[in-house]
Amino acid sequence: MQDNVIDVINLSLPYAFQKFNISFERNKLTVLTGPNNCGKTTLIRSIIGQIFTDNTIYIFSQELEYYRITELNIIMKHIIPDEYLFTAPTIFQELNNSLNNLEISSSIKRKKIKEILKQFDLIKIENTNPNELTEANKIKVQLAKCLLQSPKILLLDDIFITMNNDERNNIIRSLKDFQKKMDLTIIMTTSNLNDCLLADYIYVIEKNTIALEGTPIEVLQKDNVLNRIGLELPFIIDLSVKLRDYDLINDVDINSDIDGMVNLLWK
Amino acid sequence: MEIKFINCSLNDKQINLEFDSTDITAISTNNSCLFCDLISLKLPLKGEIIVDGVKVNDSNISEYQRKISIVNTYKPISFLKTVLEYMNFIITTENLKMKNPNKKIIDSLKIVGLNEKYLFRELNTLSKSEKELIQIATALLSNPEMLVLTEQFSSLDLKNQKKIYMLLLRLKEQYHKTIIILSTDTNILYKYCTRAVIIKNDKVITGPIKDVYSKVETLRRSKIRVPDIVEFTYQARKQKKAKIDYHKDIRDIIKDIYKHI
Repeated sequence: MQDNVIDVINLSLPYAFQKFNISFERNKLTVLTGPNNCGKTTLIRSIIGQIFTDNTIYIFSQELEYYRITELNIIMKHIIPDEYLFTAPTIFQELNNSLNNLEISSSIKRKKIKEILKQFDLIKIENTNPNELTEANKIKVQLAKCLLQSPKILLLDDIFITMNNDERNNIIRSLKDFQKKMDLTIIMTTSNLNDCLLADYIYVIEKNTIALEGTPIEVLQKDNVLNRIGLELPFIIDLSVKLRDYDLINDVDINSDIDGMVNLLWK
Repeated sequence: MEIKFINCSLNDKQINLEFDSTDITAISTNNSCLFCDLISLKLPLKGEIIVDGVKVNDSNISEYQRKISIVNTYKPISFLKTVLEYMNFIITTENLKMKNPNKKIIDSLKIVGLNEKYLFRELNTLSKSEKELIQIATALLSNPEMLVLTEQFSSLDLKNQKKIYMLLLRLKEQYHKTIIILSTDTNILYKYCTRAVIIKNDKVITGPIKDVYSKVETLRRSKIRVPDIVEFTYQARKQKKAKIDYHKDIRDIIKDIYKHI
């Protein structure tokens, strides 16, 4: 329990969970996945305190109700699409404003912001109004804003739905970087198993209980269970699992790409 | 419904397009907003638009606009609480005329797989997929001749995707509606559609989806992501001269691999 950042013990909510237990380890990228209506967003909402949970959620071994809202705001950041506001006229100022309450000099601020804009590929549009951006770019700005304030926990609710594949991979990779650098615990929900490949640990939730858990390679090999639940495997994993069943290849490699697969099959 | 766009201008370029109810059409474009405006006849009339053999002009355009329904992503409206209120609101704002609105609402909810209990659910308690299903149900209220889906599939899981796909098939086969799916996720397009249209600036490529998507170089030049399954087949054919065909289902590919190894 000491290593866990968040523990959910015996969570019961009407219409959703019955005696539900889950815990998230420190400094890990944990992915929650599952079919529609399995309670992913409800879980995120209860962790950030939007739903009253009656002393069943512990953050750093302290009850959620123990924290003041301002304290929680510093250690924990969340992104739920469509549920945030931008007030500044440009992206740069928006990010600058979010650093106002931290006491650092403006030159360091500037450097930090430039760095993060570069990482998320926003440097070309830093002077546009954040409210005029596409949905995908809005999420990137919000993500940059959250990461600048260096929280301890970051909760992301299905932020990849509006992004294309390259953007997704880019963001997941930079999230991994931040997680290592800043001792950050990331919990994200997704309905697309393509986003799970770089995770440290995966929970698959079905009908408000945990159906599968483990590292990506452990979870993704159980294609029968995943298909029954209604999740689609990433193409290359699906192909390798099926080829292994036909004894055409020996092992399922999670990092293999299409080129590698072709070379492996036709030597 | 058969609709033809002849010499219509999109981004100051002349294009020709044609849609009918024999196929489910996949559209990939770099400016989907503009395309939605074009297809819903909201752009100022330029060139010729022919619907079921009749030329569209200023006097009959509103009649045809009503027959085309675009399923947008759900945007919350602050003063509406329940699903029933939301759907009634759409009926009044879109000026739809129907004899028994309540029955129609329940019917269209049932058609997407939701039941009467949803009528009094509060909108902010719905999950993302339920909101998308409600959007499809709302689009069906006006009994449109042409249905344009925009990115609805990407937030649904496999079961719901199959359900909506069966619904689209039924609408197409039984009621001869024209179905168009607009998305950036080419994996989904390749799986569910039979005809593809790619609009890149002034260039338009149309054809059966297997033919269009198997031209990998053209896709790359138009900056469209090649579906994984096509990419695999293409690499195998190009690098190793393997004799496998372009398939939609992964099991067919495995059969081919099994034969040739």
